[in-house]
Order: sequence, then structure tokens, then C-alpha cells
Amino acid sequence: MIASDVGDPARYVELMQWYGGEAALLDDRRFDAWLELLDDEVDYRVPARWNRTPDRPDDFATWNVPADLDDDDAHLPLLQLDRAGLADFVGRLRTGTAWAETPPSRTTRVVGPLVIVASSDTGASGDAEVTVRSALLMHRSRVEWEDATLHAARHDTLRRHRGAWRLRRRLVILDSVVLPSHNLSVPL
Amino acid sequence: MNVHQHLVDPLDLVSPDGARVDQRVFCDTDLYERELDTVFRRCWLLLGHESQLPEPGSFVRTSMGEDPVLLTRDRDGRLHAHLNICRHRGTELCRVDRGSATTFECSYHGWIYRNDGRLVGVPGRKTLYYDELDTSDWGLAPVAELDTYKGLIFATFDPDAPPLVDYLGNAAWYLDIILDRRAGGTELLGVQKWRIPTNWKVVSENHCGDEYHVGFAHRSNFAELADPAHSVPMAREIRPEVGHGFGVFLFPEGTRLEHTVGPESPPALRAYLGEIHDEVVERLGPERARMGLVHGCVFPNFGLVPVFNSLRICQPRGVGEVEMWSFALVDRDAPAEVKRVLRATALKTFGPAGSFEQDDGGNWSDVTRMSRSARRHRVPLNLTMGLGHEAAAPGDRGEIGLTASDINQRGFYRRWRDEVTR
Repeated sequence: MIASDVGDPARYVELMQWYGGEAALLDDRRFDAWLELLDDEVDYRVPARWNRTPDRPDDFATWNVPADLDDDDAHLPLLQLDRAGLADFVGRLRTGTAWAETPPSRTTRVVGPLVIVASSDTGASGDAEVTVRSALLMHRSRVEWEDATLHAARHDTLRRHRGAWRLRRRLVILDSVVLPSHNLSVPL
Repeated sequence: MNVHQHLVDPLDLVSPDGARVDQRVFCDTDLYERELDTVFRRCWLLLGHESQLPEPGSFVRTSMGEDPVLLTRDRDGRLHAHLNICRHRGTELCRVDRGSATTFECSYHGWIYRNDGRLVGVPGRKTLYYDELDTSDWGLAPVAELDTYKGLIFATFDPDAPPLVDYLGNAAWYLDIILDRRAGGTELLGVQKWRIPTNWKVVSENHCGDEYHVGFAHRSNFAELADPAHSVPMAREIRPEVGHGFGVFLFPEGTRLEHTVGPESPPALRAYLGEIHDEVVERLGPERARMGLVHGCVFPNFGLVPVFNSLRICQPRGVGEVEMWSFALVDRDAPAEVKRVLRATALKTFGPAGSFEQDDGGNWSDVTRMSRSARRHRVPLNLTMGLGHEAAAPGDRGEIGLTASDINQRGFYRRWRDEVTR
């Protein structure tokens, strides 16, 4: 269910700023600064989708959630990385020989309205955790013939510690069953 | 006036030795249609793996060339492959990628087929068709032959095709290195699908023989590379049959399996390889137990990169586009922890976000894009590396390039030339 109450409006605005800032860091390829937004224990996944119908025609309980998404050991996501893996992923792009991004892509990420799905505060320290659902559109252009727009939902968990929000978990749920791009060389 | 004067003759495009290839092979639309009617109709094509259909009723929606195919296991456990097209008015019968079903009902007029392909339900058969419709004439259109090789499922539309084992020929002996090293066989994890604007042959020629590109296209994966032209020093190219090709590591005699992976590999993987070493030597014999499959292609579009546990099908989708389907292949009886390690290796390196695969798509797209220009200028490509330096493979199992060589790419295009003109 969607809570009609966003809770503390100041926090909602703070999170909007965080998401806008994150998108800008990625678009501007400031990957080191982006890595600073990640919790040490971050779990980042882009599962593969498949064409399916719900088990019962009226049952969409597992739609757009992990049960639908091949997010298990028997299947292969498109990306599944921890913090070290993400650091390697973006670090490779700066070697000068990662041809997928040499020359680099130009990207624009649009992060849609945030929906606070759950939030909890852990005491007087100001530490907190929120679960946020949002939509992502990312347009990518490279040289003059690579143009792709990826559409996805993001299910994130963010943690605030010592006044800073960090990404603890991200599940990126693409609309496409067949990725409409010749690779996936930048984070979503 | 000869109406065919504009048609391209494949015999003019590939030299008989396969060493010179005209770039029109990547962009000619008529030629592509001809490939669908020859290569993708006559050859044995990989459809999937038995582990994807674990029980009676399992099905997988797949394709052979551009033809949509429904792969099913009937109630007796037999595998079937049919065109996934309703015989009544031609809609796609099943639009779900996998699952379990006894019957499939068409969404247009409700014709129902059993999972062995038989037509078992026609709404209004008595009243509207006057009980005159012989349903046995209207089952799903089957492939001509379906067969398996050690878990892999292949099919062909050609009733005159040779048996699958003959089609694979000496390639089977090499495939056993990954498919038959353990009694329990293998299973397939997956699938990742993505689209590359390239001609399918660009992908297959890379899979079958391109050791040369590793140190250059994938340079970013190597911290230090003194000599990128010899980036895979222990590898040699093996052409088991003209058209099929593998790259093979040859480890020193007596090398134990756990020493074929680097010391930085996860301890669980090295421990597992140590445990299965004796079983592998017993099953494969000492000669193959010291071989590691690096990459390969079974003509026309079954690709593999076993060094990173990746198995792929390159599905043609028009002359200038493919869908890549990428899986991970693991020993079925490996512990869950080891499967996770093997899966993670495949994920890190291959698939659309893999540190190797990311860089291939751009090069492959470029080759196809540039071919439209080269079409007018008739500039042949160079596949001469190692020409004239091929040797007989040990045990007379095909031919070998003693180092990086275009031996397999030449074989691929020679085979292609034969297939599209026979």
C-alpha cells in the first residue's frame, strides 16, 4: 500500500535532493563521488526479466518484485555487484582501454517521483533507514549511432548514519526482456 | 535483362581458402534471406539444455534462426520442438518464456494443442466445421529432427540432415571437456538477453577463433600485458571440423585441475577442482584432462566461452541485428557454493555488463555498420593469419593453429560459403 503521509516533509525533500544529486554525479561521470554514496554493504542488482503471466490471472502479488525476476542462484541477472564490484565496474571505465566507454557515453537520468514505502528511525542518534520506490529513465548517447533509452523501476533501501544517506540496497527492474542496447556499461 | 544481375554471388565474396572475405556478407539483405533458407534451415541449431526442462510438462520458448520454436517435454518425458505458430491463422501460440503446461491455447480463436504438438481442441469442431476437420492434419509443425548431446538440445528443419553426432564430428570430443567431465553432467543458469546491431556472422567468427583480439579489445581487463598480441600464451586454435572452432589451453602434462585456475581464485573453487581431479582424468583421459576450453563456436551460432563458464546463442534478427542469449554452464553436482563462484565469474566477465563483453558489442556493431560503405568499394577483409601453417591436430581430430591464428575464421567462412551455395 502507498502511504499517503510522506512522514517528515523535510526528510522527503532531503531524499529528493539526494536522488537528484546521485543522478547528476552519474551523468557527470564523477564515479568516485558516487561510490561515496554507497554503503559498505551495498547490494546492487539488475535482474533479467522474462515474459510471464501471473500464476493466477488476478494475482499480481509477485509482479515487479523479486519473485518475478530471476533473482536467484538458478538464473543470471544482468548485474549483481557489491561495493568492491561496483568500484571495479566504474574503475575499468577510466583505464582508457574500456572501449565500451572510450569515448564515453553522454547520459541523462531522470528519476521519477519518490515514494517512501517504509521508514524507520533508530533512536536519538539521527540514524534512519528508508525504502524508496522510484522510476528511472536513462537516455544514453554515444558516438552518433548509439542511442538507447532504458526504463526501469528502482526499489532502494537507504541508510542514514551520522547525517549522511547511503545506498544499502538497489534493485533495478527494467521493463525490457531483451535489453535494447548492445551493452550495459554504466550504472543504473 | 537478367533480373538476378544485382544478386550477390556468395562464391565471389569468400575466397576458396576463406582468407579473404568481402564485407557485403554482413549487409546484403538477399544474402541474409538466403542464409535463413540454407544455414538456419539445414544446420543443427542449439535450442537449450535439458536442465531447462526438468520434468514432464516443462516448456521453453526459444527460436531457431528467426523461427519461433516451442520446446516441450511431454508427459512421457520426451522432448519436442515445434514452430510456436498456431496452424489456424498463424499467431504466436505461446508468449510465456518458460513454465509448465499440458496444453497451449491460442489467444485468437482458442485452438488447443497438447505439449506433444497434437491439436486436441477446436472450438465449434462439430457445429462450425461440420465434424469434418481432421485434427491429426493440423498439429503444430515439428522440426525435422531433435536430438541431445550430453544435455544440450539441438534440432534441425532438414529431414536429410546427418545425425547430430556426425554434424558435431570431432567437435564432440572437445565439447566433452566441459559437458562430460563429471558423471552428473551439467546444468544451465540463465538467461540474459540483449540486442546488438550487428550481423550474426561477426559474432560467430569471434567465438570460433578470435584469440588475437583479447589483448587489444579487452585490454582493460589486464593490469599488465607485456605483449598484447600474445595475451593467451598457452592457447592454440583447434579446427575439429570446417565450420566449428575452439581455442584450447594446453596445460603441462600432469597438471592437476586445481592448478589450472589462478592462485587468486576462491578457495572453494580450488578445493572443488582438487576433489574432482581424479574423476575428470578417469572420464576424459589424461590428454583432455589437461586441456581447458577457452572459447568456441559450433556452426552456425552456438558460441561458448568456457574459460568464464559462458554459453551463448546468437539469434539472428535481420541482416544487421542479433539477440544475444547468454547462460552460465556449471557442473550439475557441484556444491551450491561452487556454482555461485562459477556463476559470479560468468557474470563479471560476460553478458551485457561483463567486463569483457561490454567492449565486444561496439566493435561488432562497427564492423556491420562499416560494411555498408565497403559494399560499394569491394574491399576484402584479411583473414590470413597463420594461413599455410596449419597442422594436423593430435589424434587426427581436425587441424590446429599452433598459436593465435585465423584458422577457425577461415573454416567458418568456408563452411558458410558451402552452406549457402549447396
